[in-house]
Amino acid sequence: MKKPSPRRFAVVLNLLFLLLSSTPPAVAAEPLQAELANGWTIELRSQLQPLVINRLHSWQLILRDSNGQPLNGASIEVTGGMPDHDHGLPTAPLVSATAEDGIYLLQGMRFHMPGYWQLRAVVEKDGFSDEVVFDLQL
Amino acid sequence: MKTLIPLILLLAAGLGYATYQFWAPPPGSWTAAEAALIRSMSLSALPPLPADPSNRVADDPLAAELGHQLFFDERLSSTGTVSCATCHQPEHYFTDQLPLAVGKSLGPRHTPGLVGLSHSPWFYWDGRKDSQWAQALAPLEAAHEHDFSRSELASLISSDAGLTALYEKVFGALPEVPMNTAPATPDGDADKIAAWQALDAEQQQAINQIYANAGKALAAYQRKLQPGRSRFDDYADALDDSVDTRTNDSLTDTEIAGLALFIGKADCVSCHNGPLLSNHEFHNTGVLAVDGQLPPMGRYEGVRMARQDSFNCLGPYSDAKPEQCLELRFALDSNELVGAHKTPTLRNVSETAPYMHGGQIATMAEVIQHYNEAPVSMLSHNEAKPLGLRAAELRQLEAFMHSLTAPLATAPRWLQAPASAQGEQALE
Ligand code: HEC
Ligand code: HEC
Repeated sequence: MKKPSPRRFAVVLNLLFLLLSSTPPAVAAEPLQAELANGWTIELRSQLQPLVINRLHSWQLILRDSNGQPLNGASIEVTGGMPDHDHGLPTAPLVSATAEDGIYLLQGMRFHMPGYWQLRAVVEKDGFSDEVVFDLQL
Repeated sequence: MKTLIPLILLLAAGLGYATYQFWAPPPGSWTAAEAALIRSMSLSALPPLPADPSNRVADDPLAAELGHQLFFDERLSSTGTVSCATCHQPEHYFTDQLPLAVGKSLGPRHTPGLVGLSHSPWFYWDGRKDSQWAQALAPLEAAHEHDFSRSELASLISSDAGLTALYEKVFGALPEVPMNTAPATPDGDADKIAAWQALDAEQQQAINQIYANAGKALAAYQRKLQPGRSRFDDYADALDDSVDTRTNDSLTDTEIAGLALFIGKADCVSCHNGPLLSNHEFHNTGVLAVDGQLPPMGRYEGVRMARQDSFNCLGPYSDAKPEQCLELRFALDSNELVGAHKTPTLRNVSETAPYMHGGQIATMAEVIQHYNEAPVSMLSHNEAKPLGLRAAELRQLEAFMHSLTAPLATAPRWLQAPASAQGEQALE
């Protein structure tokens, strides 16, 4: 099992994007990935491509154990905001399970400003609970 | 000689101060990120009008014709003098040049424009309506606006051959309604409520149906009101190949400098973004309450009212399936929304003074001064922070605001009362 990073800070997506230091909308969003404290992984994929601001949309969430096996039955809560602006998402998104193993649906997402966003996912299952943070530049 | 030194120092200081305040050259080039951000604000990036599943006639041309007639029809008022166009005047980008709107009497809010509005998921300054058709119902019955009632509206449409014919082409047979009863609505004064309660459920339902459909036609008409390309759009589109700020002369140096502030130091773009220069979301920007009014709760209350509205997306007169009512379902309900108002578009803003939800700010120069100071909000907190812009920068930002104006991309016939505004002739 891999060791979790001390602050469990999930690292950024979209490296290319950052390298070019280009912050425009209209860039295909790479999936966001992070490892939880117990070695599970969670992946967030925007179903809006390119990921632009001001559009209500959904994300697919994929939860796997440390062997890469899909995990059902977790409760996942996603919140987000702009740390530099001191406010959250403009909507109240919700996660629900889907018929597919290990796949969850995050509905009701919208980003209403260009710039630096953070998404936080709290994953709970069978008494285990952890939070991961994703950075997102729009 | 010695006596001159203080004078020279004073002159130098004065010159330095003047340079500091008044000399602010535009940047020479945009970064790739800035250029992309600027292009994302061009009308060329405007997505197609979003569908409105709650209004099955939203894009029906005959519904737009009917809406056009209703929009300009002053018979839809208790005085016979108020139509939507009394306040939403086409020649002023559908605003009225007044701080506070005047219908039958003085109202509590400033009239917003309607151009490009169909791209917004929420309506009113506080977002208390979740569709443009549900919005259109409210002014008809508001005592300070049309002061009309749904029963009178149903009677009028049923008794005017032209309106009946058009209505039936769009919605099918007009249900039978009691004619010329006392004004009746569940949302009026005691007399109107009593008159409403005197109707049986079937009559109430028929009247509500006609009322809701009139709103749907008014929405179909308003979907035609779209912004035209401004000098800013020409400038933004030409940035494709080059990031030199002076690639084309659609904008002056002063306006380019203003644009740089808008997307940079002044950070207007965090709320006024996308091709309509609005994120259609709700923010507290510390605008003072209108004299004599309490500080408004804004969207904090608006979202509750939208949820309770019997004409919302989930209500019996909506054409949407419940699972299509995503905006309502995922609407935020939070203390962050106390005192928050909807970000207005900045398209054509130079022509739509005065400004803000209560018309509190008379001129563009004062709006920009307001943002420069970012006063503390009376309720909750002002999201905008003081900018510390210099005199030259304030002027540049203001100049940029004037580059966003253009004639509408709407056929002229929609911008005036239809030939048959009084409904005398049916549309063939
Ligand atoms: C007496 C003036 C007046 C009349 C008449 C009037 N309006 Fe308005 N309109 C306003 C004001 C003021 C507001 C903002 C009110 C608020 O937000 O509380 C408004 C808001 C709106 C909005 C929402 C704008 C936004 O930015 O969300 C729409 C759409 C609209 N009106 C359409 C209409 C239609 C359609 C009619 C006719 C059925 C009409 N109005 C009649 C003054 C008027
Ligand atoms: C935090 C979000 C936010 C930021 C940042 C912001 N605005 Fe606004 N703007 C709004 C909101 C919300 C309103 C309406 C406020 C009200 O009526 O109370 C508004 C209103 C306006 C209006 C009046 C428009 C009208 O039709 O009444 C103008 C002009 C304007 N803003 C320009 C600017 C400029 C220039 C900047 C940058 C200096 C800026 N805004 C920054 C959210 C913002």
